[in-house]
Amino acid sequence: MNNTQRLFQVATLLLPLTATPVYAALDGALYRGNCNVITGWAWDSAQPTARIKLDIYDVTPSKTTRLTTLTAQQFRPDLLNAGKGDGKHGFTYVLPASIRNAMKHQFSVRYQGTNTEVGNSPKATLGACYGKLNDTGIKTCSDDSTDRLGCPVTGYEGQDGDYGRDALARAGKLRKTGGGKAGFDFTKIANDGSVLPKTAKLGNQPKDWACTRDNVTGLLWEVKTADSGLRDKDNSYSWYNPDNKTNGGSAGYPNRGTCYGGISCDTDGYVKAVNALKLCGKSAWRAPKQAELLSIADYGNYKPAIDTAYFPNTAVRGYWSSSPVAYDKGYAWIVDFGYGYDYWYYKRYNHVVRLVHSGQ
Amino acid sequence: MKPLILPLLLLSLAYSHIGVAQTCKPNIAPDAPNNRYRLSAEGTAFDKQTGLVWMRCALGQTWAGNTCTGTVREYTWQGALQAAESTVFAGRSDWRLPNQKELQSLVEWRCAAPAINLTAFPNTPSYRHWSSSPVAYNNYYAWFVYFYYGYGSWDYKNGNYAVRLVRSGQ
Repeated sequence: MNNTQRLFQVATLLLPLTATPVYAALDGALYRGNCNVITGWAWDSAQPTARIKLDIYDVTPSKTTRLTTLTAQQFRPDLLNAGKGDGKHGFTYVLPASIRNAMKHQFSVRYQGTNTEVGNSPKATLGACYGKLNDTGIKTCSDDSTDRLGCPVTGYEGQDGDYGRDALARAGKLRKTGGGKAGFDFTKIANDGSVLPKTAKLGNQPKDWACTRDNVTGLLWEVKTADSGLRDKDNSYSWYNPDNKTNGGSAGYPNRGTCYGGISCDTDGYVKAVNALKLCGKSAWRAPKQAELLSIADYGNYKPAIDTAYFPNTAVRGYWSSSPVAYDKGYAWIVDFGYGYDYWYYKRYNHVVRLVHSGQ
Repeated sequence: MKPLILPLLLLSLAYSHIGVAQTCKPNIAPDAPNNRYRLSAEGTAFDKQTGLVWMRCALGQTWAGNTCTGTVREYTWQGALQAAESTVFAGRSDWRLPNQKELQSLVEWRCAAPAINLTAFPNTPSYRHWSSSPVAYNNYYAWFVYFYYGYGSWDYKNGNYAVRLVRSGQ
């Protein structure tokens, strides 16, 4: 009995109990099992335009947890070329923060409502999935008076450029889900939330690029536009957070900024407008904490200190975080994306804000 | 709020770290609560969020079984790199100077003076701490984190600053 027959049998047996649709000729595969993203595909050759639903499980020695149910419907040219129907059978799942702990994990992808794994599933992580820090973007070495030397530099061993994701990228040994400079690993996401190729262009159509996913941290970021619209790069906002439990003792000031979009030009007003828009299919956008905002700074560059291929339209100025300053309630933290340093400003001042969304 | 007085206040604070008590705000979301760290009696702290292992004391301080004693030693940037290369602690010799993002991951933004978890890192000096990251726009600078406030900035590599070492987790 081959896998397809076995699956048919399993599906048939389950049918009376779960009313799961029967797929006559299911086929699929799990490609990647790391701590950040899992990808794969599934289709039914008997119903080539049907979209297959999959359950994704996190299996640890102590328990099995269903992380999500998703539909394998992303277009992948390799599937089309391999004769898998219209090619719209791929899936990408960004793993949630709940896997960031000391345990080794196995990710299991099963046809919805069954215990039948897609091909190559489950896949185990190599070790524990701790939270991942981005590297700095610096892939060269220095001595006291010269930058951009090869690594290592005698007498200055053990510096930034000698280790980490950036060094692996320099050596051609870093496997990435997407693209990005040095050790960064970014993927372009469309207005409708779908995954895009590296060549995608910014725009307002559903399949145009609008957000960038960081495959290391799992965070989704908005990309600024140059269209005199709601998300224009030159819009500025005052810092405003009316929640007394998180604003550090002072709400700041509403509507002191200068912005397009017909909204209250403050961080709170902007968050509300972007959530109403369901940017990139999401509605829990928020201003980033200072630690999150620093994670996308690229210290290998300046003016701006960010990977411009994935974050174009980055103004060389301060970007607000949601973090108030502990020693004076009148201030909040910013990251300067000209040079990458961080500092504080009065909440009534005007800065840019780049919103973030946690993983699924 | 006293906008005009603040710069002077910052200056005076910057040069009077000693004896200033840490202040933490209940109405700011925590970044580095106690449950983020697994502490060892041999003087290391495992950060469950990043997978990094940190020395609980700055170089120069001595781990006294439950706290850090002694005098913090300050180094030039090259001195800090070389001190890391030669450090053996808690049975390990793979300690290194943290890069700027690793060092910033220690910052507790709800606190100041210092902006760090003092249970995990007792008696942390509110000083500038060197990172291993050179600055892209100026050959003579390297990045530091100033733990009085928690911000990252740069200075000449011949400046003398504190050092806290890290190694990658298991």
